[in-house]
Amino acid sequence: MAATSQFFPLLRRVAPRLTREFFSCRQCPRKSQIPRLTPWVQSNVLPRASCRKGLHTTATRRVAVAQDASSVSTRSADLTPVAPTTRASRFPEVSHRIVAYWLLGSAASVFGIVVFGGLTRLTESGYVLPRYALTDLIVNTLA
Amino acid sequence: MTLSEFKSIYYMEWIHRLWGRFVGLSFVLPAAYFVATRKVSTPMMLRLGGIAGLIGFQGFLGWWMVKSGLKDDLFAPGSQPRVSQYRLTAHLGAAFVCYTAMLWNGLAILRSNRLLADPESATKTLATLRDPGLKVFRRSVAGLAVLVFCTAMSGGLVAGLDAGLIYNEFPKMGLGLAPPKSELFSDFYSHREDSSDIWWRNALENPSLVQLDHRILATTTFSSVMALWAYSYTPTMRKLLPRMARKGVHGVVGFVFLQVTLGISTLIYLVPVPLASAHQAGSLALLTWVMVLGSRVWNPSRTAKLIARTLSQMSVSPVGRGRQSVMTHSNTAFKSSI
Repeated sequence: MAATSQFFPLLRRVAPRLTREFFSCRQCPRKSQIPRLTPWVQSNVLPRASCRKGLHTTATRRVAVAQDASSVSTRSADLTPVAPTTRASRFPEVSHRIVAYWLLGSAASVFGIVVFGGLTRLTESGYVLPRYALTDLIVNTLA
Repeated sequence: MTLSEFKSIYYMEWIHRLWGRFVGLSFVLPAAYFVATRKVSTPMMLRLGGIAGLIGFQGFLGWWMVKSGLKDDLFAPGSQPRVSQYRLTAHLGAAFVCYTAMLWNGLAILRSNRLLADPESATKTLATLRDPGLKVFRRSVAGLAVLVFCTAMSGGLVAGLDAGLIYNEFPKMGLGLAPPKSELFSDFYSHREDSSDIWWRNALENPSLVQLDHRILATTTFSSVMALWAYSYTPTMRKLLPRMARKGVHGVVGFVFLQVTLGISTLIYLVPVPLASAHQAGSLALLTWVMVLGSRVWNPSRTAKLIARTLSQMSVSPVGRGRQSVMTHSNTAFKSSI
């Protein structure tokens, strides 16, 4: 279930019947398959959902595994109403969590480069490469 | 210098520049993807743009910094390339700002998602944080963050001037706690005839004063953290401070002890490379944990408004929507491309 994010659209294209059968709203009452209603989902996906059983149009395929509102709900049953627009044309209120993980990973990378820069300075390695090929190229082209 | 020695320092610099390009690319390309697929909010998109610009600027600063070390006649006997300590500190400062921005935004997104997943309990949590009794604590954490950053920048000045190689003792500096005033504010460093620039010239170019400034800032940071720790144990704070914030304070205390230990030992052992590098890493770790503590006590105003809006809409919605409390979600987070 968790791995579907990458291969799911591909799978849908390749095996539409398979995905309709196994990933459609009819599965919703099975609670083990219900995805967690993160705020990103709430503000982006569910407002546009009309998750009817068996309904499977392009507009709703993003929410094909979202909960069927009539059968189950969560603590925040009703959602921040978003103006019904075409999908992916509107910025969400809250950024997706993957952005957070990527930012933290980037921060870790910057941590590493700061430490490495300190080492470069301590070993007095900073003076090699005095001529920077790219700058030379730019300057020579402009001259 | 032998060829193998040259190769090793060449690799250091080359890896550093290559890593810088990697940081830039690994930031810009996913950022473009996230904006295109609308996974970020509008304010976050602007911030990502700002960080990307900062990374580019950092590359420029690095080039500009190295250039400053190559302007003198390097073939004169006894000469040694030296980068300006200003540019070094600017390069360090921009890196710290970039790191803090990435860290903070990452933490903020996780916090917003966590709060919005459960608006009712989130409102309670935020209400406890908004208690006026916590105002002093919250502001102290903000002040502490600024102080840690300033201490780190003064450390950059120390590194730029190699000011760690003098007065290798603690807490004394020479005969007293500080060198004599004539040494600290010496005319030698002023460029103007009337010595009107003596204060800032010495503060930025005199290794004795630069080291003293760093010591003062470091001890101030240490004392402030201890004061904050003690404050968190007063009766009012025991009641008001959330558990996670208390744990955050403990983490900051741990890191500041580590950092002071590393700093003093670096000084006493005449700046060996491993200790000095660890001291630098420790400064960033301390700044990280102060930011983490901040994310646990500062009020997320925009998220609070979103929560309030979500709750008010929930209350006006028709109740007959099967509001069974279903908490049996699967543990896998919902992936957006589904």
